[in-house]
Amino acid sequence: MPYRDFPLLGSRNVVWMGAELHLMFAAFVLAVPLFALVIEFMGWRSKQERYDRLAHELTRLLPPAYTFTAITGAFMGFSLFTLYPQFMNYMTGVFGPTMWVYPLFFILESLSLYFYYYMWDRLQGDKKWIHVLLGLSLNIWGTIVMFIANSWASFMMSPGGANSAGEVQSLWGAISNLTWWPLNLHRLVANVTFGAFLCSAYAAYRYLGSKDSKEKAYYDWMGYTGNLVGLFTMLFLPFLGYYLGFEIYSFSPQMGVTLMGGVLSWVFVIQAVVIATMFLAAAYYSWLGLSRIPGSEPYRRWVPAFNAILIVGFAVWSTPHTMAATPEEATGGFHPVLSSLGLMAPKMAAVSLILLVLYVSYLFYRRAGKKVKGAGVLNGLIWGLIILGGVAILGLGVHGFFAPAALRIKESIIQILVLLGVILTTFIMDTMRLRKARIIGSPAWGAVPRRSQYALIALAFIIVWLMGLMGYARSAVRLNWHVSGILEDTSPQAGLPALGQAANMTTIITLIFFALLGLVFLFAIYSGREKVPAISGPGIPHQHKEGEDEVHL
Amino acid sequence: MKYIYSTVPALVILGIFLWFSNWIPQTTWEPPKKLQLSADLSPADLARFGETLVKERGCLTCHTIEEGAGERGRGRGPNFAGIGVRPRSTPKYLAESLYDPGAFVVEGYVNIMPSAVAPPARLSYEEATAVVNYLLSLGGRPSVKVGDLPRPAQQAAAPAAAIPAAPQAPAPAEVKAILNKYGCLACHALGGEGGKVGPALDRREIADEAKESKLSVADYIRQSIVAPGAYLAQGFPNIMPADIGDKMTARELEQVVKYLSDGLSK
Ligand code: HEC
Ligand code: HEC
Repeated sequence: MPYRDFPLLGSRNVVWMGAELHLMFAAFVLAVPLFALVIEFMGWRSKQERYDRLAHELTRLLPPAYTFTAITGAFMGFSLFTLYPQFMNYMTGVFGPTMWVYPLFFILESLSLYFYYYMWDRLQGDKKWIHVLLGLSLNIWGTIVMFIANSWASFMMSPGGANSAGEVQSLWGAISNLTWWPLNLHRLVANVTFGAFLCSAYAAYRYLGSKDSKEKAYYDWMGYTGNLVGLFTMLFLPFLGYYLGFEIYSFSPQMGVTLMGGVLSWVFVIQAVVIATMFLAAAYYSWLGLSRIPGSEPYRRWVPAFNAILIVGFAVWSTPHTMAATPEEATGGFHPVLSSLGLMAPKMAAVSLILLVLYVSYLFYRRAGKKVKGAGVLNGLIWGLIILGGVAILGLGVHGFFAPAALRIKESIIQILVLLGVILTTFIMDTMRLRKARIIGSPAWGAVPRRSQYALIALAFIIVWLMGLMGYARSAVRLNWHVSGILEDTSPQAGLPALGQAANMTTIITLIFFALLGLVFLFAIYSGREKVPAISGPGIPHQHKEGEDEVHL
Repeated sequence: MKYIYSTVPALVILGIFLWFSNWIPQTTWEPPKKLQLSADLSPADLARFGETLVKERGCLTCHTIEEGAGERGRGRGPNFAGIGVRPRSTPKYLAESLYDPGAFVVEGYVNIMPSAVAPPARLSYEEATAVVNYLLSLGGRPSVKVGDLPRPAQQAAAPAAAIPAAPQAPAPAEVKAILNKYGCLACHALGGEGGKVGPALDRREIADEAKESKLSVADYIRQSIVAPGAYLAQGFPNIMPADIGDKMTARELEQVVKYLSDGLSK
């Protein structure tokens, strides 16, 4: 029997929920250790206790999160094996050996986690390096686990190592299929983004719930740090997304087109709207954050102008190229105006300019509260470079619009290089400039308005929702195939639902995930309250000690 | 409670996403159904089925049907409107374009089209015949019955997993081999070698004759091979075998046409 039905919900929805929930928890338990390790390492090297405390607090979220990962994983596996027996039979046939080593690595990962978590206080001081190594091994096992699971998922999309009858000739060929590495990289980075935003949501809840000013200062800082890491890693995602898209395209151009310009193209319109909302929320948060810093008023003047650039940029960025929805519309379905805005060249220019504006906001933030004397030339150079970069990006975008495709692609690469070059050089120059800075007001942690924390919480919800939706798109692009071109889906739910329905599902899954995550947070909150390390806060100026570097993220 | 309260903005934003996703066009996609086409359907009936197939089997992710937009149109593959009367669109050529699109890649395009008889489109032989009739009906007249067209070499090859190659100019050696295979060089000369019964295949006059008959050089050469009597080269007898073009595969034909016309337009 190839399929069994699940009453009421339908088999597909059950597996859909199981898979997404499992993926979200798996992403969480993969990202948080990575995040914790980096922070622990920074605290270790810079000798700042608050980093160590933060890393430790993050790991406290892990044991309950692991439990949910295992439960949702078991649920997904069980529903797949019972509802899609033929498909699972095929997959176990192909991937047999990997399915045996998979739990092994999972066990290693869990063991490392427990040691990492419970030995935290014992392995301090001289023995810190052992602890850091434990954290490293935890991350390595976790990454291997993910890579194995990715090989299954990517094989379904772009099977490799199989002949035309679907008989796999080489296991390694099946594992190392075309989309395996893009998926690995994309998920690795996206997981960090995801984990970082979830951690800052955790911090936001704690900020809102705490009365003590020391605690408030600490959680404010934690939310800020998480948000910064989330945004920074998010910058890489469009490029990794293009890499994944490129490999999908080389596996099957038709699949690539189905994704970007065919039945699923509207997913990307939704995605653009969602990402736009994310950047707006992040910008809102960081602008409210300026109020932490005394003497930041001159910078706040710029906020409306930035808003305007961001909104126009997003409008271009989210304009679809093909307004294709039905085969009839697909036939010559290029909107006369929208299609030109929706083309690659304006899009690349828009997104590069948006990133530049966000970077400038960040520079403002860094500079606020610091006074520099006698570096006017350097400052002029920095702004000159940034403006020049912006003009160059815009110019390339306009030119690329008229240029033939091959040249346009080269130009968009130049655009990215210009953007990265400007950011890198001005960042170094600005750091040099700030060395001579006199601090006239350091961040008053714990003094941001409450609504800034709502933005952090919203960001977490948005990224989870987005991940759910894009996961749907990645699966949906196979259309009526369990394994593209090899194993056909002949179940009653082989077609694609309308996007609204997919969004409904995604929302339900997101809400379930947060309900469960709320439990994880509660467990973590009640599993121990520790002394909060001193951070500068209202009335608690941050004391710069000898040998302590201010770590700028 | 306060936790839920501070989540309200997040929920409102999700609500907006939800509204937006339900507001945009709601298209569902159903897996294509296999058609049972009986062998005695008329070409016109087949063409009607062909239209459905072209719409349901994903051809329009790349091709467009835009009246008056020329051959290129704005899609990723050639415009279907008017394809039925394009000089190269013989039923056999169209069938081969479906079975093995990479064998002859239309100039200016990249070899990205998957075989229509392999997944995901997976046309059966009868369905492919229907599609050919539909394409012929776009500007021309559907004319083939089930059984007229050659069958695909093998049904359902594995999905293409190779990075598509750019179209290549035919290699001289390959073209020579084709010309030898069909005995063209018994009557024609190329590069000074070969028979004298027919005109040399690289003589300048071909371009002039093409101009006179208001065809591009490529179309003129193709016509001379497929229908030798249509336009007689001056001073030569009408003895070129009329069925010689039919014996060639579409790929061989197009290779020769491209090679000769490229040589003449240099
Ligand atoms: C992934 C994009 C893609 C898909 C899907 C696709 N095609 Fe194509 N098709 C092309 C491209 C590009 C060309 C031109 C290059 C070549 O000849 O291969 C082409 C060429 C053709 C030609 C030859 C046209 C000419 O002017 O010589 C025919 C006929 C054709 N396609 C029919 C179909 C049919 C029928 C389907 C659906 C079963 C289909 N194509 C699906 C991209 C596609
Ligand atoms: C039996 C001898 C014979 C064979 C074999 C033959 N041709 Fe011809 N071909 C002729 C003659 C004679 C003409 C000139 C009369 C005409 O236009 O039909 C001609 C005309 C042509 C022309 C038009 C040249 C012009 O100047 O207008 C082309 C092109 C051509 N042949 C190509 C081929 C190709 C390719 C083959 C092999 C597939 C081939 N011929 C096989 C005898 C032959």
